[in-house]
Amino acid sequence: MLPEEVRLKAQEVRDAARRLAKHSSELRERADVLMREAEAAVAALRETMQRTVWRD
Amino acid sequence: MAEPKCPRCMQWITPDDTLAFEGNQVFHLDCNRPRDLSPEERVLLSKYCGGHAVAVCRGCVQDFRQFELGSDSLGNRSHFCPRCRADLTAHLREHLYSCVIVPSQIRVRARAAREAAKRLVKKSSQLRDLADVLMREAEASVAALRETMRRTA
Repeated sequence: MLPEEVRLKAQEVRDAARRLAKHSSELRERADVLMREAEAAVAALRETMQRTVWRD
Repeated sequence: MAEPKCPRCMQWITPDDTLAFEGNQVFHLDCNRPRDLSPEERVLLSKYCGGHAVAVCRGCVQDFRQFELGSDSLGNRSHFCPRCRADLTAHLREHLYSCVIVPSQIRVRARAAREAAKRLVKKSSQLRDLADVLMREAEASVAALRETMRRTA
């Protein structure tokens, strides 16, 4: 009973919301990976310093 | 491109800032001196570079050892040229990452840590931009639906 145009627009809203939710979690995951990489790089530096700097 | 904001000082975090991490948050290690040396960089400079010049002031055409650099605790500044007061922090860092006296393994690790932090800030900005585009698309489609409903109702 709904006009075709309205149904189409409602479908587009639903698709856009779905896309937003899906990509948002992907983006969050990518940001988390970058954060973990940065933390790991600092940890690796500290570990290397512990082994090298304080040994001399 | 919108850069992330530090949750402590609410200022933008730029790729050249020195960062700290806690849980899922990134913030300035020192909000008053966002580009200051990290504790690791300080240790390395003091351990390996205490006996030679570490920064050149291009304006004054003079190089300085660490102890000769100016520091101003009230103004939250450090590592500046004692003559013209230009900030030489970036030169100090540049020196550390290229000084042959620092073991190469440490230099590689130190550079990797700084680059990972830079990458984090840059990519975070790109991801935030992408999220903004998706949000605007979703809003635009809701607006288009409402407009169509108004016309056809």
